[in-house]
Amino acid sequence: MPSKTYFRILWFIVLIALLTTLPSFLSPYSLHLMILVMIYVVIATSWNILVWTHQISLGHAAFFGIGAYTGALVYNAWHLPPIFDILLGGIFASLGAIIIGIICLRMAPWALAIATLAFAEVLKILVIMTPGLTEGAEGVAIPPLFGGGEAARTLTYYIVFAVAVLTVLSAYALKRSKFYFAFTAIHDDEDAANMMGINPTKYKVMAFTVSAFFVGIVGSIYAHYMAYIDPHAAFNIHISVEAQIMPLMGGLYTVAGPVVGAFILTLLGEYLRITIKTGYLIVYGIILVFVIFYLPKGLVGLAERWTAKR
Amino acid sequence: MDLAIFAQVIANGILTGGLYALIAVGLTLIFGVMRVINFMHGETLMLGSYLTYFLFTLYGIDPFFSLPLAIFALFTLGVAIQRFFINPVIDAPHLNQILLTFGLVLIIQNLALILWTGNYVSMTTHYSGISIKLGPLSLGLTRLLGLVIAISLTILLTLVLKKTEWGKSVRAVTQDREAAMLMGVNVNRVNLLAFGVGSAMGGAGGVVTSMIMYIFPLVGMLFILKAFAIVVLGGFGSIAGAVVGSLILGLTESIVTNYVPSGSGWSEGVSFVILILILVLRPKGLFYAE
Repeated sequence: MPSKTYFRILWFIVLIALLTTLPSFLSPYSLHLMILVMIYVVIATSWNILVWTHQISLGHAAFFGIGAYTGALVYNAWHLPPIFDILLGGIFASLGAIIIGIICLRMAPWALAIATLAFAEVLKILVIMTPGLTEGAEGVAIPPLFGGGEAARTLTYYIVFAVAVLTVLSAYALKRSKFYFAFTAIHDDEDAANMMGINPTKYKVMAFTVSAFFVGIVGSIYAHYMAYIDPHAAFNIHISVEAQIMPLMGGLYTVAGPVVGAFILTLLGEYLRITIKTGYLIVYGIILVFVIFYLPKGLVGLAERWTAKR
Repeated sequence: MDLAIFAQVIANGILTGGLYALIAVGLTLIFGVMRVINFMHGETLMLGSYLTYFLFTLYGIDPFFSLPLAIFALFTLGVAIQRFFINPVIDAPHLNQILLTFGLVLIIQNLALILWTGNYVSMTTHYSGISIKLGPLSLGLTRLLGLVIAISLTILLTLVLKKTEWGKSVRAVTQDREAAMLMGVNVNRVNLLAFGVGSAMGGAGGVVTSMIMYIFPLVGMLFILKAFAIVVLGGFGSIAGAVVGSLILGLTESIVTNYVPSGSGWSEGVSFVILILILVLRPKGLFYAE
């Protein structure tokens, strides 16, 4: 067991070192893609934390959107250093998660799935219909982060990279803590867990809050980085979809799975978008069906099976 | 408040509710039997409406003759999808099934986008423009016919569920899957037919949709979210609940559109607000009997 742990830590360090040096030899466009990859690493990892407690969210775009709009509106109103509204984006997203979590306390997983989907749609319509506060469907422009330009892009990359590392480490720490045992107990048999003194509600809402916090943070960073946000981009159902497909492809219930999924699918998605243009999402659909049928444990599961054989 | 206008608003709400019912009834039937959240249901509507559109523009076939064709075609597709896609993962976790139907949505939707482009299309039959005056009310003929189709098909389905052997086994499986299985109900066959019939209802919804509004490859998404709201509102698996839920949603949307400032924008959110409210106040739906 220890040797396996050391091996993992070594892997992790090599990967971090590699990703840290990336900006020095990537083109601006590739760096932009890496920023998106890191954003999706955070979204996919956060979504996966929820699955541990047997909760399915089809509305993670809601938390991304809350973060993005908090970032944009708070910055434009007070011009505080961005770190404040980025954190505030995470906090507001968490508040949203607590509200939806309390609403959905005793809901069956499928009902929660639909409720989260509706939550994201309601927020989108709310933003579109209150132009006085949010500038409505036209969207909000924000001064670019760090004044824009290439140096700013590199800096943004390091920030989202740091957030991604923090998210993955948090997921890892959560997975090794007593919380994870409580999570798994809830997943396996909620009533039994309840009997043993684990309060499923508490842990479920907690998982929701943590999950939303990180997504809110990258939402806010995204708004700053793009220097513009509109309701259709912020509450895009696509974000919610990617949040599920990435962990599923990489491997549900694992820490590495969502990371692997986010890397592959963000880059593949971009490649397909450029080459196929119309209807490129068909490839996503085929991948999704294929993975569910033939790789229920994702790529990580496949790799583990492969290494175990040798 | 002008009473004539109010009557018209109510009438419009009922007409819209009828279309919603056609879609929601199929969705609730599938959920009741299989406990699968079927995202693909919106795509049966999309396929049904494109089928009607092409039969009309290419061969001049009237939508009313396309109706049985669409029902048959979507029934076959539904059975095939249940047999080859859903059934193999019927014992897998719920998440996998939800995502599987979502994967099928992505495939069908984007295939439509590639084949038929993302442009909005609509068709005009020789009776499209006719509206019937009923006292102060003016009702579009196609929308009225759509309501008639919705009512007839729902009544037909209810009769089938009440009277036939298959209908009884469907209701048995909806109430308690394990018990039905122990009683010798062929659950596999029930699943197959329920998915087929549910999809056929969606296809019929597509025929009606193509008659009254423009269609495009993503039109299914527009309806599926509302259909979810209706199914939750009426109680999962309840046909009567779905009908009442559809009328409530149709009426509320119509009232919000007409009486709330910039209401047509807000009305899009009505279904989701209702949905969240119901989930909070009556998580099992309005018509769930303890």
